[in-house]
Amino acid sequence: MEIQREINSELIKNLLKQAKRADGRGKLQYREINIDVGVIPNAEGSALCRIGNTQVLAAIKIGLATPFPDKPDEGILSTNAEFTPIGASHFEPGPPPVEAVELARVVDRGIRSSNIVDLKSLKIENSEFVKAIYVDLWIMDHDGNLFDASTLAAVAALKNTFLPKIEDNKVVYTSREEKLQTYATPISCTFGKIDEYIILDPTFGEEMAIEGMITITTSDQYVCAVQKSKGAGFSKKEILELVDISMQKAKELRQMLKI
Amino acid sequence: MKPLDQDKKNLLDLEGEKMETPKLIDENGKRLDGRAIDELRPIGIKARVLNNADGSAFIRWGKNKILVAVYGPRECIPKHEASPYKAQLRCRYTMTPFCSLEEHGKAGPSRRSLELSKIISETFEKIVIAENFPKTAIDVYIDVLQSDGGTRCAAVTATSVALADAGIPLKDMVAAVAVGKIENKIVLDLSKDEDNYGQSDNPIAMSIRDEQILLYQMDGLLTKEEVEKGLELATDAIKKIAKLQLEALQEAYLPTHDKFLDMNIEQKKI
Amino acid sequence: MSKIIMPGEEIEQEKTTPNYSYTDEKGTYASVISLQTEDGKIIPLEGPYQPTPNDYVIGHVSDVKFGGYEIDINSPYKAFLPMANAFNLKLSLGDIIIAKVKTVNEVRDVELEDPRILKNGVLIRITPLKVPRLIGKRNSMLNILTYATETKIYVGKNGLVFISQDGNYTLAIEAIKIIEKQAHVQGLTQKIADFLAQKTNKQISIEDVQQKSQTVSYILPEKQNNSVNYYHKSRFETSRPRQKKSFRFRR
Repeated sequence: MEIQREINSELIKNLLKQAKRADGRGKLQYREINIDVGVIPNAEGSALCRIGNTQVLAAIKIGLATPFPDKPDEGILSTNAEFTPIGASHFEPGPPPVEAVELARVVDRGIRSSNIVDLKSLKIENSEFVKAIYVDLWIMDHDGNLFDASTLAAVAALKNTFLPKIEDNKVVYTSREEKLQTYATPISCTFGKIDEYIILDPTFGEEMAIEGMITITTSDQYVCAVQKSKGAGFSKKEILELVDISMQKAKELRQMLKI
Repeated sequence: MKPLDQDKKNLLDLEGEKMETPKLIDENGKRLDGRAIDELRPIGIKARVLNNADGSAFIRWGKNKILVAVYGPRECIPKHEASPYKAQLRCRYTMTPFCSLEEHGKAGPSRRSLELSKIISETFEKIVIAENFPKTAIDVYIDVLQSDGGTRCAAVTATSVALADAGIPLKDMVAAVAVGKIENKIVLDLSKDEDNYGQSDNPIAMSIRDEQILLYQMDGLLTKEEVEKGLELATDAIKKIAKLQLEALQEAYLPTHDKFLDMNIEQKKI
Repeated sequence: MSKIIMPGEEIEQEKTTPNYSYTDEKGTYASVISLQTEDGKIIPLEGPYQPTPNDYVIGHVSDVKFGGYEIDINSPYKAFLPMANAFNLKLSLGDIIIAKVKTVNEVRDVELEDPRILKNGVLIRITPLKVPRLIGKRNSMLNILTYATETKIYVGKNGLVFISQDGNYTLAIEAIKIIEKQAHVQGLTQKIADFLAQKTNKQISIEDVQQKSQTVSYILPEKQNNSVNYYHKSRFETSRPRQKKSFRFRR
């Protein structure tokens, strides 16, 4: 049974106000990160990302869809996140709660803005359909920082996606042809803030205790997605500092994880 | 009464469509994936793979990959579902949208998932010693991450391990396997193609020590002798699968055990 | 050689613990995953906390009612701390306390008494069945932990462990996780002593620490008194001065 969030958050808040973290990490230190790719062979692409105790599975399915009327030459990219009741004791069966919708939309902005996939390459010759990429984020174990784990899992999965053959406007799922071409590696960094103390990669208990949170997704020298959540405000100076730190950390992660 | 022609190919012709069915058993007695008619697919089980859940188990059965998490005993919400005499066991079977080698699935439980949730809850109803925890709920969540036929049997097998891992008192362990009929022969452990093109599908779950049949479903056409042969094959297989469950739990309590979801655990032929 | 016993396995009648085995007309069986040690003892390895009178448990205030406080003790059943048992403390929602289980009635309602507030630390959870190992014989394990890490550690029988933040709490958490994993390994106390000695560059000898430690009974924080409560003031202390009775009113 995980400890009810109310308990831990008061104690952790106390610690954070003294510039300490419950697991003794430095304020800008990530937990241990592992990525396994190709874990679901039935899906066209997949990856399981673990950050500390958080475990998130991303799976890519390819399908056919009618393109948007204002973008007839582009394929579809659709991201969905599921807070399966397996992941935490307070996740309930049913439609995704607003936090899951937010998570999916933030991850989607990160991958879409970075142009990791050339949506124009998903057009099919002589067909009214285009290829659609469905990204599913399955939260198996929630110990904070779902944004970073989900982005990493989604990016790793996209980089290991193999497109199936399309014949007569039908997908032949038993075939796997060329690898999906990727052109960027967006990485997100999530920060939490309490008073003036800013931490990277909050655990679940820390997420309950912090008063402000910001996720910054960067791709090489560009910022491609930002999401500020929770109530407390960030100063302009803080945001600019965090952009620098995100770029730095993202570079380190790209090297370390070799994605 | 003359029995219906049991050759599946002819039945399809009756519908007016000529469909190609693969030859499910070849001249050497080998099935599509090379197995003999009484051979199980390779199976691997790892217990204690999640941090938040009270108990968890991951099973690889052939190409199936299924994750089971147990939360409980915990407060029963909604309160009107609570029983003053025992814990409520609630199992929820779900297939992920990416689990099949077909198109992206729809959101929400299908009718099949609802039926399987009920069946699996009932499989464990008398196995869990629910009287020890009145007014509570024991929630079991089964997520099929990749499916290839026989998911309900793999789910039941993994659920038993997850419940034991959570320390919930059980009267016995339970394992399951599907027997079936393909090309007029009773075979063990149908894969997805064999289930689709075969003549009968017969999943069976049984408690290990007591040999009580706790889940039994079938479709298709079977004679009484075939039913009996299926039960015999299933009983032997289930006893072997129980050994894998024991090994998974033994490994989970070693100091070297690492609590994370390894989706490529080793599978064994038994 | 110790071995794992699965639920449903047959065991001997004498070696059973009531909540972790069951008996029917055919025999006695383990109901919970257990370990059988070399000398035949059967130890259950996992399971929810069963509230028992006189246990000290750690929990948090999940609701403040008129008659008392509802306390979440991380078990399937909620506990209640009546106001009468908490007259020396003023608790608010979210406070973490350690308290004693006074009674458990037939419908599993738990009543608590003797609460003490816990502040300024971290809270972790181990399985309730490994709590005796974490405390050790006569507090031996807990004493070397507190000595080496210079923290205060309070262990609730329900598996929640509070570690004060003034010392090396991360090392304490690490050590407690090792103890939970290797609870049934022989000579664990010495192993932990060696591990802590290596990490802190201190000399840690179990016997010395035992001698120096102030108590070998269950370790609790001091009793506190933080409430301004009229019940406590002496009945004879009032703000009105006593009136002198004058002879005139005597008849």
